[in-house]
Amino acid sequence: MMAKPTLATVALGGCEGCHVSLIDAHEGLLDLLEVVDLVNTPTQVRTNCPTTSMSFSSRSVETEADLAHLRRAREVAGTLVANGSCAVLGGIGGLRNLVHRETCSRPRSAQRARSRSGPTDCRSCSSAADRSRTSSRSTTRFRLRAGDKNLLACAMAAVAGDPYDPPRRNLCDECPRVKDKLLHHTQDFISDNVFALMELDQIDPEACLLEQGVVCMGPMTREGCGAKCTSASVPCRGCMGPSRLEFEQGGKAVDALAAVLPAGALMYMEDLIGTTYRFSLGVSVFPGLVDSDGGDLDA
Amino acid sequence: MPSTVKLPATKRIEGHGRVSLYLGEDGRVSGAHFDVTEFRGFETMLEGRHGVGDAAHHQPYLRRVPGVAPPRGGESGRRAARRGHPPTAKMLREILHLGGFAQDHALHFFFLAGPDFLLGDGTAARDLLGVIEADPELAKRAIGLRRAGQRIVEIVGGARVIPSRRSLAA
Repeated sequence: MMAKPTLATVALGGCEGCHVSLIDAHEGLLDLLEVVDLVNTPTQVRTNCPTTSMSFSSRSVETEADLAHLRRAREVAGTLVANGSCAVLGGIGGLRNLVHRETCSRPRSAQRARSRSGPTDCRSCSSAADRSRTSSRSTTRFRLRAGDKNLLACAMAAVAGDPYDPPRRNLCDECPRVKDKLLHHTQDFISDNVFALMELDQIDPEACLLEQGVVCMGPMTREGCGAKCTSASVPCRGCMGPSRLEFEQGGKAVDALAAVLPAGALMYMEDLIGTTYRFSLGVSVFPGLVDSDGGDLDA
Repeated sequence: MPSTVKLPATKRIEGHGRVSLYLGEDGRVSGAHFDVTEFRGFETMLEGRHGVGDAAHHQPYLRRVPGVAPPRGGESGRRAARRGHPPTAKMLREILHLGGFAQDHALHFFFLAGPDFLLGDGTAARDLLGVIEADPELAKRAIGLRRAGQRIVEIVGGARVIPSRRSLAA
């Protein structure tokens, strides 16, 4: 009997949510284990990185050690899949590309007071890379959101040798909320003002959030997550990454939203970068355009 | 003679770490040191971040600090912001956290650290695969417990892994 294909997950710098997603598949994990041998994950005992048919790499490259680990994983894996927002887009960690590494690493007084492990020389900071990078630069490009059934579908497809088609449309197509004004050609904005969700007197549970004046990243974001956030009346923040054919999610956000919402309101948004580039600054050209070292914008 | 034993990597915990054990003259452990070998830069990253539509500004970012139990991250953001809360929101948040505890503690006990106790010395795989192989019924019940906890998080918070509706619970 042929040996089962082997699967490993590779952990770089991040929160481990994508690794836990494998366990979060619950009984689906047992189905996967019928067809693959899971030979190395952070949740297992084994420490070296064996040769595998397929490896899922999650989190982003934050330190030199991460880069070495990723290169080793690329050498020993038949197929390497970038799994999750951090691996494909940089994720939340990409936001640190707005400042110099030295700014990130300086100890804070709170750390000095509470640290129990000796002086805060922050050894891991000294090996921090200048910028947070994605692992998808050296891998097959799949975007899989943590906790989603896409992870299993992709793994099963890779094992069977079937092609895997990532979702192609943007979130608005998947979102169940009712779009009315957005679909009618008009010279007017779809809302008189832009509101924070909490500022609405009444949150209409059915209507599109953009039509209620709440900034939602749906038009700029790839579908595939099941529209869980917008179904829960929370505006999308783009964790699935830019929609197909785009790579500057924030730029596209300004471009798209300025067409439907009062532009003055967008200008006064408190944190345009944190809202529109929250997960994708790692793949944006924006920090590099401002300062070729990826440095402090205020310097 | 005093020496140091270094364990360069840790497994079955969330994140990366390194342990150093200091042995005295008598060969017994006289001290230990745990280093976190990861770096993400949250402290700087959060400076200047605001959320349009988010109740406590840093919650959505902080939820991504702990991947094993994201509701906890959001709670730290709320407390740092010293946000008050109406009683209903407080109750909703407690339910969310209780669901999160159930799945997170079950994960830790049955699949991460617990196999050391459940499976004992000499077992080839003291991890989740070892538990699935040694006692599939126990593994199924642990999975069921985690699924129940996550379902609670999903109902109250809107999503299983990173509950975005937690913002509405203030």
